[in-house]
Amino acid sequence: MAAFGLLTYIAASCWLAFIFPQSVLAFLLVEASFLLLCYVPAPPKVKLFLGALVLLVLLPSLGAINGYYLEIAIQIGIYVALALGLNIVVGFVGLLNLGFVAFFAIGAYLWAIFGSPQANEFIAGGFFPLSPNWFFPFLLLSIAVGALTGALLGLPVLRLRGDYLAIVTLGFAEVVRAVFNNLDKPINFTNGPKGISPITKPPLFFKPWLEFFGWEFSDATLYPMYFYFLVLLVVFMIIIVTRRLEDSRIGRAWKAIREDEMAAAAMGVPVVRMKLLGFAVGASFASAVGVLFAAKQVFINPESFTFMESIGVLAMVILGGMGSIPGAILGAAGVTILNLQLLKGLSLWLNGLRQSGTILTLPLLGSYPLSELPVQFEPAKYERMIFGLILILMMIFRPQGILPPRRDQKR
Amino acid sequence: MNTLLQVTGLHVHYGAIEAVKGIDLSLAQGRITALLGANGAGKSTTLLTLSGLVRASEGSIDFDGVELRELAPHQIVSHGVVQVPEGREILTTLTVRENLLLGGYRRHDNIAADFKNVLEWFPRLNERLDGAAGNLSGGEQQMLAIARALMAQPRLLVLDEPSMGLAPLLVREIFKILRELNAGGLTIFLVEQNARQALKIAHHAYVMENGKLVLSAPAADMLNNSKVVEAYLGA
Amino acid sequence: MELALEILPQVLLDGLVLGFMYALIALGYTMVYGVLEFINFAHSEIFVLGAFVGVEVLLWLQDAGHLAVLHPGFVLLLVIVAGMAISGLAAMALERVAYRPLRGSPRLVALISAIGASFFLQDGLRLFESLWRNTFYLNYPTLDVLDQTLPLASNLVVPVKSLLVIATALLSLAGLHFFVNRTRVGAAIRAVAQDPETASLMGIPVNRVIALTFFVGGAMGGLAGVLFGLHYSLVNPYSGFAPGIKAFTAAVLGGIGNIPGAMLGGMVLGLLEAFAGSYLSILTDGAFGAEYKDVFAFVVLIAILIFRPKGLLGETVREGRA
Repeated sequence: MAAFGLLTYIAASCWLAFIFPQSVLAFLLVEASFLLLCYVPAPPKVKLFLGALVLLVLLPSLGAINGYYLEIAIQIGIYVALALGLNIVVGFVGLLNLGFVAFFAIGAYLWAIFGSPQANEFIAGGFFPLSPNWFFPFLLLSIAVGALTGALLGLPVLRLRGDYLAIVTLGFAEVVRAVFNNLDKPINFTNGPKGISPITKPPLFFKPWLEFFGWEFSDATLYPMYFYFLVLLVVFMIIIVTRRLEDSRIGRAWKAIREDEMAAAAMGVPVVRMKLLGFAVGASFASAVGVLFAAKQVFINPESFTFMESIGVLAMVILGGMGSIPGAILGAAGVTILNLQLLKGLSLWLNGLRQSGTILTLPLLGSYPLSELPVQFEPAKYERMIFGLILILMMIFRPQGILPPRRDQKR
Repeated sequence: MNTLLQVTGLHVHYGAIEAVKGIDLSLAQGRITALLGANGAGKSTTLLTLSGLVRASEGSIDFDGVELRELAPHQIVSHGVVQVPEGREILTTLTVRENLLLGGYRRHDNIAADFKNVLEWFPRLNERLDGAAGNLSGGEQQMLAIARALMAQPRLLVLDEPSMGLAPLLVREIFKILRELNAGGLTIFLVEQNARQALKIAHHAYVMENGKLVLSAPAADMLNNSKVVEAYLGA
Repeated sequence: MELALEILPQVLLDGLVLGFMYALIALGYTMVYGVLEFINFAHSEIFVLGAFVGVEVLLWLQDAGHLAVLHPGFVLLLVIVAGMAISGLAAMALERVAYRPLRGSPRLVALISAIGASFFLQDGLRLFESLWRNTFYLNYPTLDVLDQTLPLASNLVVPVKSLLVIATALLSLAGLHFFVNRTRVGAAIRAVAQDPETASLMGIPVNRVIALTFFVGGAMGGLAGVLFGLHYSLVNPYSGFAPGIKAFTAAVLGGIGNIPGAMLGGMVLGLLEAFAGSYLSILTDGAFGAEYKDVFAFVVLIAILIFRPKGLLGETVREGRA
């Protein structure tokens, strides 16, 4: 019965999104179907089927009509992957990492430098940009590079107490960003603040197969769809790895460290090694997503990797619930939708009102012509305020998050 | 005999654990009352509740007509209930003088006279006034803790294990001072594991076991009844 | 090498100005860490708030036509007092709203709330100024006095505004030292920092002392903000981040919780930064320049935390509480 209701809802919301392809609201309703999938009681198999239906068929079909939907979905996917990575460090091991974006940046620059003509600046021979076929080897390489940098950072700092560790990770991320920002001299490695472009996209290895079936698509329509499924695949793999880790000896060791480091050490958990591992795993996720991000954006510069990004991802993890995989997904999706759709929508709406000269009349307060609203007031620019509010309110009223890990719910 | 402090039906919980399970006790004005019992019986919890550091879940604490249960620690001090905490928690990084002056923090009257007075009780502190309190010996620290409490002009002085970790000679000295303070009219409530020593100076005593009061008797009777001492105090 | 010597006095002066500013901000971090054992991450916004209060007061005086008439000394005093008072009150309010409900929670919970508060305040300031002035990059109106210079030597020109920073900072640091070490309330702050439970048993109202600590730390931050604005002219809601992190580094460098340590740490860091900014390029033949001076603070922070986590003068933080 519930399953039928769900199906009806999904069908209805998708239908709305088909009819009103410009409507943010209609697409929000489609996104809400995932929330329903979480909460409505139905057999797991039905839920799985419906989820797969939405993710694999309906969303891409909607995206084929309106590329904006796919763009949003890809962004959400990227943040979900980042949030899952940070969730390991913050949620499982209990280490506050305020510089998570550094690993994301390292992955992004790894592919950006070699997947663009940039590397010619310091390696002679004109080998670059590398061919698209190198994308997947680099995706794998980025996992190793991310893990390595995570461990290298972790090695000296993991003995620090929690709040100092947080500040040091913040400092590390700022150093990384400053280095990318300034390493255009003496040798031009990163092209400095101007950024790197164009970055090679992943190979369309499946195009011949499509043509074999007689389907002809332009690259411009194929790429968004391709990135969508690529991100979906990466997120899916990260979820599997994370779940396997969570239920393993390693996962239990992490949680022991989170709850009581001394006790964990007394039980024989190799605390420093386990913390390092957590750091490295989280970093490798972020780094891999960075490669994807660079390839999708075609252009990157250090501006994409600020402290605000780290805090944004932290807000996602905390909103959803530290240590909870569904929580991290929900938090990432919610915050991304809020920033990319709701606030932007509000900005556009306000601009419309401004230009149409609407006069706002409030009882008692009198009337106010909205055309006089200062142009600097743009809701879409207030991401920090949103992140900040999420962090404060969650810490005060619901520190365990919206979807806390099952263990906490029992309490 | 006037009752200065009356505790009625006091329950204290730490989370799900009930540390104090409904006790009634009264402290007589101008007397020394001792609260005895083994480790973990709930004695310290009772004292912390009197001082407002731990909140009672039920019951009342009436101090000369004032209900203390909902008050903050510093307000309780203002009313004249002053505790010398267990382990003589003095402020080691501050000087002895600062410790003493801070003891009179709630008072806005002239405390210079009391300062002199207190130093007459504890002449040893006089020599170390401007040194860090952390450099004092254990016995001196205990004296400082008591002296500091006296600076608040207590009407009821509450002491948690004043003899803990001190050499017998020092213990005797400190108990002698307590007796003299009492002779001057000060009401004292004393928690001790060193039962014999405590009973020697106390007028009345309670024995606590597993969060309940199991015995209430004049101290002299308890001291004379060796069976009681053995059964409840293991000493 | 001649060039290096030639600019040395000027570099020292710049370093001192920076150092005093960092020292003032660092006090807020270190005092709060002393009483609550947590990093008040939003302190950098309290600092920026001071800078904004300063510019708003000056703009208000300018618009009302008073700026040209009033004695500049009085104007400066007014701006400084306003900045200190409002920053101090804001810090108190922050404690009440975002931190006090979390007392007793794990350290990181309060830190996360503080980061949230920091972000919220940044955009809060931006929102306010956007609605109020339709811009959030504000320029301090010029005060003629501040733009004068005293040529002390051929290679050292001392701007009056640098003197103002140094003199004001010295005065307030001395005042704070007296307040903390020679007054009853100052002793109460130290008592709470060492052991809040015992302090409360002594009759010290711990919550009020903590609020007061926030006020004093906030006021020092606000003062630094006003001086920052007067000295560098341009402020925006995000200008607190870098000075904030550096001042925190200064606090850690001196030993967190340690008030003289914060002053020393600020000085060391300010001088270090000025030297890095001027000499890095000379020493590396232009390969690495002043653009790395911000990185310097982080490298120092990381190095200090790893090799000497208790700082130069030692921490004065109670042990054994997680």
